[in-house]
Amino acid sequence: MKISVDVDKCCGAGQCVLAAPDVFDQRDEDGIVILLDANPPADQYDNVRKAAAVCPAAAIEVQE
Amino acid sequence: MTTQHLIDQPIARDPAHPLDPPAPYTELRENHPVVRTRFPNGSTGWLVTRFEEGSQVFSDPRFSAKRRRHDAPEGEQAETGDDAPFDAGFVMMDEPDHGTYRRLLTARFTPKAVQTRLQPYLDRIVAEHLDAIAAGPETFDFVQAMSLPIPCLVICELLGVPYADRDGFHHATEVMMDMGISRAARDRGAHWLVDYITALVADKRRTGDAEGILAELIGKADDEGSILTERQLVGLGVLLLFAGHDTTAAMMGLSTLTLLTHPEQRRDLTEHPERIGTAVEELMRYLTIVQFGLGRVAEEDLELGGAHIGKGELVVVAMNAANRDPRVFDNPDALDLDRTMVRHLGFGYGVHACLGQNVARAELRTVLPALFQRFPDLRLATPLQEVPMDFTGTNYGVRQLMVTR
Ligand code: HEM
Ligand code: SF4
Repeated sequence: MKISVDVDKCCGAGQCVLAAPDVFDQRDEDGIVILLDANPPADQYDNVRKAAAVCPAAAIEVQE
Repeated sequence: MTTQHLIDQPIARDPAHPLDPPAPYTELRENHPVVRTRFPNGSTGWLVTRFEEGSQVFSDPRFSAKRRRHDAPEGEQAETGDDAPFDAGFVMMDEPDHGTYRRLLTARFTPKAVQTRLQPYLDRIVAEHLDAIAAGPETFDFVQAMSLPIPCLVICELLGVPYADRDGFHHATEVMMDMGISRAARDRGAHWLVDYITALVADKRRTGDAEGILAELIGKADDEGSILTERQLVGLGVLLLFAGHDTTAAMMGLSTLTLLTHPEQRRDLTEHPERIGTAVEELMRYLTIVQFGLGRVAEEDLELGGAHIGKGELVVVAMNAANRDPRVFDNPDALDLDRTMVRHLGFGYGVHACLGQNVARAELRTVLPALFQRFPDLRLATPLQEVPMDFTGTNYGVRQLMVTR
């Protein structure tokens, strides 16, 4: 799995952090997404798929 | 053919089913998912009742948020521009400007910031208000006791507004949102808020009071080369009140009514308060309080759900209909507090998705379980059909909710 995030689209809602806290975080100053792990281990795949689906800005792209 | 069908908005709700969207939406969603519509002010455009097409309108950059109002009464047109009572700011902007302004605020609205900076205050005021209910009469109006004050106090806390001023806030926001009264009366409410926040900003500048978002914005506006004008700064303050007070109040009252009329699910939830997160998402979906949908303008000719939309036309997403779309939700007209879902449109979608969603969630997740734990026998004091509903406001809700503890 390979993840990329589009920080220009991100609206800072933080739903990705709730879905996959080991993979996503947010910048303290403006809430924009931080990708902690672009190639997460397999036990994270479900959470990452959830994060990408729930993101209101469609800012997370997942390649499997 | 879809494009020849013309419907008139608003479509009335059935008073016998106060928790459901207007019944004709079901037929529209199946047969005319993107339909030509005449709005209450006489302008025409399109109404979208399906989930996928609705999501597309919110996320496709060919749709602009620089829109005309569609839900105001007859004859009323735009409320943007310099003649509007306040600068609605990034709500009516597109990228990249929208993101530039929105990011001035996002830091206070992340799940982490809400949990660490707001939740302790929220727990305290909810406990205080429950105590006040316990000390008051057995039958009381939940709207006055909880739904209005809690969201108002939360925004006051976020903005850094002194508590003594909150009554004026209630009144002005309510007036501003009521589509049943004249534009002039609504504008007076907005002007009161603008004047109030302008004075508060001046006060904070003078005293150096660093509390809250307004103080943070003053700091940012005073930075050299700042994009933020004084009118915009005040506008952002008004916007947060305008966007976060009536919405959350409506949702709190309507959620309570819903739980009162679904006693078995309410009991399950009271016994398993850890399920409140899932329950709140289902309440958001089921109730979808944005009553007349949200509009966008097509920037070019395009096709949506089989309809041909012309450049410049207004497209309104009826999120309450889309959130009952059987293509996405099993048995969509049933309330199921254990329902798991990927997402709903109750907070919108795309780059304009509700900035305050984590604040609203925190309020609902705190109030609802605490209310029913504290008052397990809470019940309606009037029959459901006699609960006065707000059929005209931008947000659907209860005007009054008499309950007995
Ligand atoms: C249950 C309560 C709430 C509901 C149902 C709700 C609903 C919505 C919806 C549907 C939108 C999207 C508007 C659009 O796309 O044009 C929105 C935007 C917004 N909401 Fe909320 N909201 C709630 C609570 C709050 C709170 C508590 C705040 C702030 C304290 C807030 C602040 C905002 C702001 C600033 C926007 C504009 C975002 C943008 O245009 O980028 N909302 N809200
Ligand atoms: S869910 Fe999407 S919009 Fe929200 S912070 Fe994560 S990437 Fe950004």
